[in-house]
Amino acid sequence: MDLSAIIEPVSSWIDQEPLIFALIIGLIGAAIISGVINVGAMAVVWMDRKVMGDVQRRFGPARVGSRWGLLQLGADAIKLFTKEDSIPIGADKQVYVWAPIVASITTMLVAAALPFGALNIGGKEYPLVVANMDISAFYVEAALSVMTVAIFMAGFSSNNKYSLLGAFRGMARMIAYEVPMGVCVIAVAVMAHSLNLVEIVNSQSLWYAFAQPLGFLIFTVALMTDLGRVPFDQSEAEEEIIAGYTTEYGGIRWGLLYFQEYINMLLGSILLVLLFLGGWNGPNIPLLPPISPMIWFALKLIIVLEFLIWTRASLVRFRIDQVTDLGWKWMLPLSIVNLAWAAAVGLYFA
Amino acid sequence: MTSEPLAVEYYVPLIMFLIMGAIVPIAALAAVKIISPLKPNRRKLSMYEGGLVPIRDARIQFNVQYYLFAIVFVIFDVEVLFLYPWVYIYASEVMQRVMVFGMNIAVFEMLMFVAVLLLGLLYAIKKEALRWV
Amino acid sequence: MPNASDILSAIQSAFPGAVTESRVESDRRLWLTVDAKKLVDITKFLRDKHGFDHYSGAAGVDRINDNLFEVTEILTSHGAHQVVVLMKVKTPRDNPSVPSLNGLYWNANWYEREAWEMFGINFEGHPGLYSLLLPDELVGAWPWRKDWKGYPDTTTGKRAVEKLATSGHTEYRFEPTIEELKAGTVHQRQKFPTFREREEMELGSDAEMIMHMGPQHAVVPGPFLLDLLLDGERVKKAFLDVGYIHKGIEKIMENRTYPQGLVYTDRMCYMASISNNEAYCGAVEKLLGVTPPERAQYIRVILAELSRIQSHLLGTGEFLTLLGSATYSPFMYMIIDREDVVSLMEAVTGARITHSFVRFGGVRNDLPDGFADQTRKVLKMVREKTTEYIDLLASDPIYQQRMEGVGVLTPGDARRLGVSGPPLRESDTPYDMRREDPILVYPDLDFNVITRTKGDSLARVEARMEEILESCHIVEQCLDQIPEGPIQEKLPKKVKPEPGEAYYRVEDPRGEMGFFVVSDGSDKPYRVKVRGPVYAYFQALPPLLEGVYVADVVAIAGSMDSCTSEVDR
Repeated sequence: MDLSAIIEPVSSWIDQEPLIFALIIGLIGAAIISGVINVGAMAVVWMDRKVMGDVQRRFGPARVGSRWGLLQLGADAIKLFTKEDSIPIGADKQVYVWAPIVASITTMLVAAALPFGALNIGGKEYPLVVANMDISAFYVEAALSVMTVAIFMAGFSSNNKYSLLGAFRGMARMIAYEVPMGVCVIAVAVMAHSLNLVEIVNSQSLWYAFAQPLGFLIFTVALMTDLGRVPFDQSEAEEEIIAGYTTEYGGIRWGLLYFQEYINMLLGSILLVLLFLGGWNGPNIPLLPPISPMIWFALKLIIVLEFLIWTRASLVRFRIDQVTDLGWKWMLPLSIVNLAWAAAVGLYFA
Repeated sequence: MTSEPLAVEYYVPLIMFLIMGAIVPIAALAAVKIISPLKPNRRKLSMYEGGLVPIRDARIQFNVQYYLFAIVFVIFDVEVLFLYPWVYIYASEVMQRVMVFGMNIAVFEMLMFVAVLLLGLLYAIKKEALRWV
Repeated sequence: MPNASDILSAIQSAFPGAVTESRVESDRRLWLTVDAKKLVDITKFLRDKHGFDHYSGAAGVDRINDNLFEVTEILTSHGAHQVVVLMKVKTPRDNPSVPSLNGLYWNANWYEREAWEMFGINFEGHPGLYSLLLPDELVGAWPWRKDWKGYPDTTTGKRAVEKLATSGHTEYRFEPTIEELKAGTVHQRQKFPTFREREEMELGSDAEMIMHMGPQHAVVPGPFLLDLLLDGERVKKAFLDVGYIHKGIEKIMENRTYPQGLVYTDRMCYMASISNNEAYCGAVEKLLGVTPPERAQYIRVILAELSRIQSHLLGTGEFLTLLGSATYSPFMYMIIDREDVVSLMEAVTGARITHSFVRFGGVRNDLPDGFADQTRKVLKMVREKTTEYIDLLASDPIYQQRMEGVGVLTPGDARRLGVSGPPLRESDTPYDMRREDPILVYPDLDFNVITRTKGDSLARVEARMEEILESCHIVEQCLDQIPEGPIQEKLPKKVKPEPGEAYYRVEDPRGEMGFFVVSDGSDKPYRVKVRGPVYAYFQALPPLLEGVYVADVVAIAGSMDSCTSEVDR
């Protein structure tokens, strides 16, 4: 088949109408990525339950969908969809309804600029990213923290004291770690001489986790707070404030918020892999050259996710004042030290 | 990286993502409207607070100390904003022309800027502005 | 160390004529009947001159035939000596009033409130005689009195009336119906302020947040209400309300024969059912004047200590979930270890949590074959695991940060607030019933009383884990020393003790558990009063919570290892 006969007019049309082409790409990309992250988050939820079960010497889901509990999430979804949908009296209705939607939009916006790996075709790597913008690292880091706005909306609109405390805690935690996180991203960009995630990945002949270990540590901790994983889950500390900001949410509304958290966890882990663990870089696997970057990428991603789940099963929760103290008094100055280190290395040794 | 100063095409797909992000939950909520039962009553819609009738409103004047966090945050987030463009120019040729204490002017200036801010942070910590309420 | 006779002669010489009746039961028990007018003076004398710094409780008895109420104040000491003074004051039934001891002992407050709401005995000088355990509708009905017929009249009225409040919540009320009022079976009673009304009185401006923790909340081990007045996230004041599952076990036991009453003691706290059995049986044995055979005593000790191990394992595990989250793994590990211990107990008693095993003058079953080997095996495992948990918690910096210096009970405070068990011992006060009031074969056994000096939440949990190791040691000694022989003393078929009173206390996993049993010569106890350890914890909780963060409330309340069911017995 003669491909050039098709490609030629298409590419000339792209040149003429870049905006329309971008919209089409966006539409296709949004549909695909929406599917990918939702299925991915389902896998993360399943993994969360299963790994936790292993750590705690129990089975985890083991009934629905073979002994591996593969369809458990489907059963949960049916339950959530058929539950009665109620909005509490006294809630700020508009904000209450919009909070899960904002959360969902946030995760989609993050996913738009994140490379989900790369394919190696004919010795050349094609990153799988929809909006390969030149400041994507900055953009993703910023968009990730919009989730906190959704959390605050949910907490404040519920007119419930537990929710309110959860919202305040979530906000304080986010702002304590947002600055160190941003500074760490900058430190990476300083070394890579770029803010584009694809270029950051390509520039990692040595993983930045080794080139700037301090930055890696700070970014991991800051990411965990952003995702609200134990030991940084003060905003939904069930033993203190019931379910935090989701206390008044039930049925599918709660399901959406909960699911967005897992999507966020998936996306955050991807960001960590891209920034510090060399993304899809890795030696070519014989026989599977086209998807060998994907294999490396998935491997690293699973290790990061496993780490996040493992910490959840084995650590107790920080008190909220300890979290903010840690962020402001340790993480922030240390992240600046790391930035100085990165600038020195980037300037004089790179 | 594109040669154009502002590559609009990269941002256009975001609109699609934004719409898609809104459609999914809205569709889910619509589906729930159709398939789930809806028999509200006052008891069911009341707030949960340990199983008792809540006393007083939840939205109260929170301790003012809390807002100091926000103020300090704004200062430092702006600092980070300044750092982003700096990343692009700090290693450029132009900046190498002026050297101060063995480092180029961009690095030196940022060092000064960050040092002043860190002093501010130290002040805030000493004044207990960052004490949790 | 002074004994009971010394104390008696000291009182008699200091207050001639004040003591109307006295009985020295043993070196450690002194029963007195004193003049109500002299009660405060005598108590002050005992507290200041003879080291009676522990107010252990008050029990009211309705002597309807003599037209009298009796209030028995139980006083003892934190280690100065081992005498327990049970001081009785009598007051006429028509206008019952005795002086309050709240001015001398901070923790007399709740005990006197309970006596007030159950019997209607007024305590002169008490700062707030409000209801504690009873629902608001029952206050003023004085349900523990012998002439109480039930409320509302069980023959006519509907039991509960469902009402929809304006806020949308359902309220259940036991209001007398018009017919009842007409028939005169029920009387309209004086109104007393409810918990909510009292709380509103103490609150300041509307700008402060008041948050309910409980009765349905993840932190509470059973339903009780903790109202926190918050400034930001700091607790300014805590209000505690109990009585959500008040079962009236004390009253039920008055209407059951002695053996029937035994099963109710299990239900007071399922985590400590063996020691509750033990305390009740011990008190009845004192009334009957029997001593269980030695083998039975050993079996009781073995089970009591196994019960302590399983209670501490579950208590600590639960506490860790409060501090971390339900996903914190050591909880699961402790539950799994506990299963083995519970299985051991099941092998002897046939039940896993509500044993009803101890009998008057013995035990129900002998140890099964192979019990000793199996127990040694399990204890070895428990010991290894517990050492591992201690190491784990000691090496967890987040855990240490959360717990260190949180909820500190200084030795002085701990004694003043009247707590017992681990929270008291970890405040540098080696006060253990197994030492202070030795029962069964404990004097023959070698064990340490675990103490700490700091008195914070960290010390409480750590020491609880070490108590597990100590209990393992005790059980192993028992297994080595246990003699052959009968396990049950011969008793008449119908248990009918002579009229009299007995007070018997044991070391519950949570502290001092005492049973005060009064017999009138029939086959049913005339009065049973339970002095539980968790009751004292709860009373001490609000002052401990002032000024801490919401997250610390969890750490403090959880480290007390409470059991609401026993408070609301």
